[in-house]
Parts: sequence; C-alpha cells; structure tokens
Amino acid sequence: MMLDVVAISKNFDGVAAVSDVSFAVQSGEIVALIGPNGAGKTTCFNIVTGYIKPSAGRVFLDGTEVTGRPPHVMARLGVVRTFQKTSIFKNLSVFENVLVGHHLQGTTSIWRTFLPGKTERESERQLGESAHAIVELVGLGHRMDTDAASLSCGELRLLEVAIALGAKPRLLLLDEPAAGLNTQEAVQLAGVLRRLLGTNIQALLMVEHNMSMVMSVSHRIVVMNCGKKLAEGPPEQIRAHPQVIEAYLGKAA
Amino acid sequence: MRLQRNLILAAFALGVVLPLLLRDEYLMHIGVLIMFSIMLATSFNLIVGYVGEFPLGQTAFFGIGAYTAALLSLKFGAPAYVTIPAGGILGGVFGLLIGSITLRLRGPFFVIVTLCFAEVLQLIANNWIALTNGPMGLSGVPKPQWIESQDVLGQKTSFYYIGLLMAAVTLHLAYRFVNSNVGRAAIAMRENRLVAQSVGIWPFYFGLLTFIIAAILCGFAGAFYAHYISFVGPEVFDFSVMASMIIMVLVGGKGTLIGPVFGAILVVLLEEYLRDFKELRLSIFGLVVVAIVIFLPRGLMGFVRRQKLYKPK
Repeated sequence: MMLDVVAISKNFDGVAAVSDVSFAVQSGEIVALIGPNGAGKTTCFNIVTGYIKPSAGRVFLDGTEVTGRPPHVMARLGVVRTFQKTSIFKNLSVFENVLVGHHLQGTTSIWRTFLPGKTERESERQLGESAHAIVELVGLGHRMDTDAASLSCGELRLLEVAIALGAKPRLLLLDEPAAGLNTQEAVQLAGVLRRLLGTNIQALLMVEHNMSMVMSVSHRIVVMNCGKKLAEGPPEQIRAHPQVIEAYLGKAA
Repeated sequence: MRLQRNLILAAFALGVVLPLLLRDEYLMHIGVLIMFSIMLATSFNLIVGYVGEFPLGQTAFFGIGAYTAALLSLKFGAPAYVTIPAGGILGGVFGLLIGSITLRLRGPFFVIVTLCFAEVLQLIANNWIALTNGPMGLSGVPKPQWIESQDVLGQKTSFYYIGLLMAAVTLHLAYRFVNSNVGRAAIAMRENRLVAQSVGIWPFYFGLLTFIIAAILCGFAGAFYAHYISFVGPEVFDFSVMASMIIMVLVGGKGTLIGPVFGAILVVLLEEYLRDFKELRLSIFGLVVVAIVIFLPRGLMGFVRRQKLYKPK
C-alpha cells in the first residue's frame, strides 16, 4: 500500500469536518475522492499533505507513519498536491512556474549558489530541460514564455499539474483539477492524467466533481458524505450503489 | 535577466572610469555614498523584492557592522581587512538571531518586531556607555595606513574604489542568488506560499537564509561606513537610514537587480542636490515616493522584470 489513511478525524471548533475516514491508494492506481460540497474531501487532502494536522487517526506512506509531517517534508517524500482554488505563481512565466516546481531537484548548497561550478551549471541546465519537457507534456508548449496571469482557466489547471510534476512526485494529489473546464478541456486533462500514470507518477488521488471524468479515469472511487466515508469501489459499482445515488449522484441525475 | 546583467556591468565599467575623469573630492564623496547605498539597498531588496516580506530593522545589521568595525579597530587595533569581514559576520550572526525569531511571524507582525529589534539595539548603543561610549559615539576610527598617507582626493578615491569593489561583490552575490534554486525558492514564497510548500520549499528555512545573507551584506556596508566616516554613534540605528533604503528599493524597483542600484544613485544625488531646500527636502522626497508607489508600483526599473527566461536551444 503506497498511501494508507487510517481512521482520520478532524474537528474545527467542534464541527466534525472529517470523522473516522480510512482509505488507501496503491501504486499504479488512480483513485477519485468524490462527494457533495462540504463532505470533507479537501480536509482529507490537507491532512494527507500536512497542511493541517488530524484530530485523530494516522497517515502512512509506504508503511511509515507520516501523520502531521509539514508539506515540504511530504513533498520530499514524494507526495505533492494542487489546490482547489487555482494556485500558481502568477507573476512568472509558464516555464518559470514549472522551473520553480523543480525546487527539490536543484541544489540548495550555499557554496554552489554563490560559487557555481560545472555541477551547478549542469544541474541548472537539467532543470531547465526537465521543466521544458513537462510544459510540453501537459500541452502548454505554445505558452512557454507567457505570463501565468494571462492563461485561460483550462490552461491554468494544466499549469498547476505541471508545477506539481516538477517536484517529481510519486503520489500526485489533485484537488478538483477539472473545475471550471469545459467538456473538451476536461477530456484533454483526462488524457494528460492517464498518460502520467506509470511514467511521471506512480499513483494519483483526486477530488473531482466532473462525474464523466471521474468515471472514465479512476480505477477506484471513494465516496464521502458529511465527513464520513459512504462507499468505496470501482466506478461501475459506485454508479450502482444505492446510498451513493441517493446522497450524490441522485441529485445530479 | 541578461539585460539587467549587462546594465550592471556597464554601470560597473562606468564606475571604474569616472574617478579618472572627474578628479573631484566632493564628487568622490558622493560616489562613496552611492556605493555604500547600493550595498544597503541591494541587501534590503533581497528580502522585500524576493522573499516578499518587509523588514523595518535592517539598520540593526548595518549598525552592528559599524560598531563591530569601530570597536575592533579602536580597542584591538585590528586592520580594516579584518574589521570589514568581521562586521559582515557579526551582522550575519545577528541576522540568524533576529531572523529565527521574527520569521515565525508574518505580515505586519514581522514588520513591527523587526523594527523593535533595531530600536532596542539603538537603546543599547545609547546606554551601554562602557562599550559604545553612549550618545558621544566612537570617534577616530582609523582609516587604513595606505589610505591615510594620501592627500584628500587620493583618500576619497581609494575609499570609492573599495566601495565599488564591495558593491560589485554584493551585486554578484545578489545576481547568483536570484538565478539559483535558492533564489527561486524565495520568489516562490513571495508569489504563493502554499504552492511553494507543496513543491517542497520550506518557507522558514529559505526566509531565514535570505535574511542572514541580507544581514551579512548590511554588516559589510556598516563596517565600510565606520572606516570611511571614522565615527560611529547610535544614530546608525536610526529609522532614517531604513527609510532611505526603502525609498531606494521602491523607487528603483523591488524584485529587480538594477532597481536598487538605480534607486541608490538617484536618492543619493537627490539628497545632495535638494540640500538647498533644507527641511523641505524630506517632504519633497516623501511626495516623490508616494507618486512612484501610485503611478509606477514596480518602480522606475520595474519594466525589466518581465524578461523572458526560457531560451530555446
């Protein structure tokens, strides 16, 4: 088991945002976390990536407990996330955004920073090439030197994924990657995500409301409602699950 | 970035040649002030322009550098090539101490607490008479022997070239910083702290690292100042020094390398040539800064920031 979330709970001033939720993500898997707004999906994300500490429960990565490790440590361990509210470095170009995402691949030695030698120049060149390749991979090659601030909504979502990929995650967590995308852009994003698995990343966990995308890309779906886990299973099983239909899909239909 | 580097190199070349053409004591004095202001503004800009926090206590490190140099040379007879690096190192030590406390705070809290540290140091300088000689200050900080033996123009010119060298080193360090993985981490924090963390950037660490680098550079500048003016008093911790740094960086353009250089030159020249206006000087200055913040929020050199980084192979 790559990521193992065991019975996590989180209370905000007495309000139980998440209570006793467990799920796991295996290597090679795309798992979707779905549920109505306020179900606690993003809180789960925040707990797994160390942005908030759980009130109870534990998080394991490759069998080692990582509960409450800060975000930069989680990134170092290979767990990188994106955000629900579009979050990029808006004053930088697309290329620069992804280059910054490569932070963990570069040197942070002070000597090498101020007295650069061959290794430093080589490392910088590699980072540049890798950033270039990732921008091309997500399909933003034609926007390489564009300011992030002037990208369209769909392009921003792709850029977020590209920044996260710069950190070379093993497990990528995407918080509503298709929010604000039109159907065609969502299909393009789904294509990118499928291509990533097994090449750039080992596993993908995403929170998403776009059901056609969720059903088409994920191997397994975890459904949450009111802070609790409601169901878990492959897409066809979730689609037929009576409680899920009632709590979530029923409303959409 | 290439444009900025070339502009700075051109300015450096001009800086090397100018004294040979001018041969004027007063202009050399202004030149020294400019060099020393470039050091301060560049170091302040590392935090304001790149990390994106706004410390108001950079004078702490400037003052520490100045007092270190003055005390070492007066009490132990240490030569300038020892006292100037020592000023930088002690500035860095204080940067570590103050930074590791203040960088746990953000926004206005950070601003105020950094200011408090500078104020506390000024109080200490005023009251620890046994060490600092209190408000009377430390006078007679010796100039290096080889400078002392020259005529006035020669002395000023020598200090000018030392200043030019130190400013060049400062800018080189800043240039390397900005173009490195460390500098990119700082920029990432400025742009979006949450995303920075998500890709593995530890904000506290890189904030502290930048803070210490800036403190070291301020300490160097302070030690240089002590030897040049040959007097150090508690006013080195004055807020007015801080205000000058802020004006230089904002007017020139924060977050650019050339901006603080340009700002430093402009501010020093204006301060000199507005002397006729006496008290009105600072008011005029204030209005200029307000106008620039409103109409050119990126500063006079802000336009260079949007340079393309990606170069096709």
